[in-house]
Amino acid sequence: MNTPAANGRFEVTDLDAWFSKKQVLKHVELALPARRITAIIGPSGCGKSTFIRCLNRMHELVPEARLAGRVLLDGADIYAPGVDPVLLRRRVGMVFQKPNPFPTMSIRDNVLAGLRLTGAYDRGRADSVVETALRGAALWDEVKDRLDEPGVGLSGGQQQRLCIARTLAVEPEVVLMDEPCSALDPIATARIEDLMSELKARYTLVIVTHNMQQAARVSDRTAFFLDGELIEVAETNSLFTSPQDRRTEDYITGKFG
Amino acid sequence: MDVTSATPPTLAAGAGAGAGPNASRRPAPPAARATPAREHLIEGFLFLCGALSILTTLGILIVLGYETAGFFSEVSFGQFFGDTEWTPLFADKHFGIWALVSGTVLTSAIAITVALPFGLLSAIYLSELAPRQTRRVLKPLMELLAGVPTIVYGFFALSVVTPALQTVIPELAGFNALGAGIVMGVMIIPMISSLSEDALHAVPQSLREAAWGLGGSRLAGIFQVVLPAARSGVAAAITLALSRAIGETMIVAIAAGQQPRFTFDPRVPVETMTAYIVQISMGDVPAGTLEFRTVFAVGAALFLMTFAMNLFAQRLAKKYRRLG
Amino acid sequence: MQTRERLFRILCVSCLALPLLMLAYLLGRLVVDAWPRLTMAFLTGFPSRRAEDAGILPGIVGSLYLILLTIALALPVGVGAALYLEEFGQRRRLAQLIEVNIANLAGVPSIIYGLLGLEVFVRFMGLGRSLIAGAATLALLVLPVIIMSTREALRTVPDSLREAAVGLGATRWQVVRRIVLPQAVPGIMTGSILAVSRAIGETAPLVVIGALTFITFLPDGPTAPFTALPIQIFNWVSRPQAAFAANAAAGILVLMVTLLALNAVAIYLRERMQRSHR
Repeated sequence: MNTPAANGRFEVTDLDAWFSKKQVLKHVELALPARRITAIIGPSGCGKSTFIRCLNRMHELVPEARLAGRVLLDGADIYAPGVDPVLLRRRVGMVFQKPNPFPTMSIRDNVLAGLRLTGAYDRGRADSVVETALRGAALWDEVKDRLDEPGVGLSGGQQQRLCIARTLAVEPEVVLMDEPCSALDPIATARIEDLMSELKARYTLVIVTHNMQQAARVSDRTAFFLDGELIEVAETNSLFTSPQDRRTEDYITGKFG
Repeated sequence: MDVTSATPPTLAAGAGAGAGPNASRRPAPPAARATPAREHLIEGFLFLCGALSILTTLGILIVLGYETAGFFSEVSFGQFFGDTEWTPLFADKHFGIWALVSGTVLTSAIAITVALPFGLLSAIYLSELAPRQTRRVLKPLMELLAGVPTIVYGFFALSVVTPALQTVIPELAGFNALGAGIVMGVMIIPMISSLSEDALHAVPQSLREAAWGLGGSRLAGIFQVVLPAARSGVAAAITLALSRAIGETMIVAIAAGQQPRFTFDPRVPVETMTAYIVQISMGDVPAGTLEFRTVFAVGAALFLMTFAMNLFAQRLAKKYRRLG
Repeated sequence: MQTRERLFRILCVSCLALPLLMLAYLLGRLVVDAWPRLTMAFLTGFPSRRAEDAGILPGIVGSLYLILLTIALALPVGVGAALYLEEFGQRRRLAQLIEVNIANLAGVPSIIYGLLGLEVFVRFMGLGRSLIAGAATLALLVLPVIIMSTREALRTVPDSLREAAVGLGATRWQVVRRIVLPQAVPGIMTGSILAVSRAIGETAPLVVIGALTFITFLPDGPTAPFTALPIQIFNWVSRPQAAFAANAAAGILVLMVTLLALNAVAIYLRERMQRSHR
């Protein structure tokens, strides 16, 4: 699977993270293979969101937040001196819990927002970028006739796919998704899950979810976090059928969380 | 843990934003950065905008301090603080600040006496009793009172309120502290009302419910629970309003008179500190003279008074925010 | 409802209504006093020693120039300072110092700003008793208003949008320029209008820096001497003759109508902003 050609492979070594005095991640060691879907599960407050925010250096934007350890993207430390977090975030895109299209922008402008924001906008290519990104996010057929309407006029599920399209338009290698379906109804959730399976052919996906069924349905590998520690990581099938750790078993059988 | 030192580094500022302690230790090849010099220039410019406020404060302190020092090189503290006559423009010069302070204190005291009951009861009504719809209409209307320029209030005090008062108090002079003070009171009602309302609003609903649950009436709840809980916020509102009245200029310059005298009789003309500054500015006193510097000495005293009150009010306000 | 509570309610409502009624009465009388003087000749005339010949044109023009210059000076700086405090410098001690300082400046009496302007702009910088010196003084005076309302507007922009933009690889300034500022525009405009309506009625600082009261020409540039609407009114108010009181009333009416119009726009913008952000 990990052919050298595939980009977007993360290796996290001994990662600690704090919010002021409170340690929220403890010695996390985790590899995220390229072009596969890794699900991060665990109860609320276990550090799963913090973990993925360390992968695109958004953790450090919170005041008082600190971290230590090593995060390698394709073998290069993203926290090394001289690495520009802004450039990094163009390689490692992120989709958030609640759909957050830019309210002042049309559907089309939302898709192009990343390019416009970063000054990489090319007028001649705009139409094809919009179409590719919207097709990639399985939204094209629904919105192709109303690209100039406001993005906030879409349904919740469509908004979230618009946010995915917006992320894809920047052409990242990795897409982080922080509970992308938690604000959506089951039908919209199913469409996003189908989309994830399509996306993994081209992107490394990391999905935080509190929904174990979702992790089981879509992911190739699953990592279980508890109180800031990585308890267990394995191929999804084996983690759910034969967990090695007692705490994992308790969690997936619904004893807590 | 090999990349970073044993103590976790602070990444808050981030290398990309280019500021903070790490920035200087992180030189980067220009090609690798999306953060051009422009970004730093912009942040620098924005910082300067913020810093202008510090310069303004410094400017006020320097200007007042410099001219006041000049003033006190010619006039002793004893003459300034130990006299109750203020006649710097006369041949027989006196520099007793108390003549101006008493005018200021008198008009402000009248103003707060008027504004306190009206403002506080309005606040109680808006916060505790009014239906939501009524509140939405009344609040902006109250703000209207604060939006009227003070020169307009001054005109009203002189041409309407004082003549009306004279029908009740015949010995009232044409320029007097009473009319000016009352109108100034109307001006600061919205300030007391809206700041007190914020304080009342910050009292947790659970406290009201607890009072009602114990069988207390709505009024008892307001007076025994809500108001006491909001008292530091209300006190802050009153202090700020008082400070505003002390610094208010046009109403008193127009309607209270220009006769500095140490008195607490509201019926006769007085002169406030602010009105004195206006009086001298309207005249033709050359810069650099002692008469010119009196303006800054009075200004410095005025600044210190209002500054102390504003600081005190901020302390009080902090206290109620912590409570809420 | 208990009788006592009903009585208290009536007391409270009267406390609210009385000042408002008083204001309404005063404004009503003002209109009556001002009406006969409110002619075209008054609006387009120059000051005169004879009350019935006096006009207010230099005041209106002076105030207009003054306000335009004030806002041109204060708006960019005020918005810049607010952006620094909200979007760039939150965690730094210096930013906190600036914040406290702005709160204090908001409470400094306006006449003190006049003294500052007199020494710094008129004398030290040698601008003289000019329009630009007046505008610079007023700009410092309204800066806290603009900063505070801009910050308010910036805070209504949800963080999720900033995160989304950062997640797309935008730099801080790109986030601010493309996402935050466009959304905050109505709030910034409301603040600017509030600042303008504050500046337009300010009299004391202009008196101190030396606006003229009797002027028979219109200013021809930013360094020209000037008068302003409230200064003109103040001059008429100070005259003992009753005829000048009518002039003052007419001048005040012009001022109040302008202010009312400005405030109506501000309230409209605020309502629209609240609706779009819920």
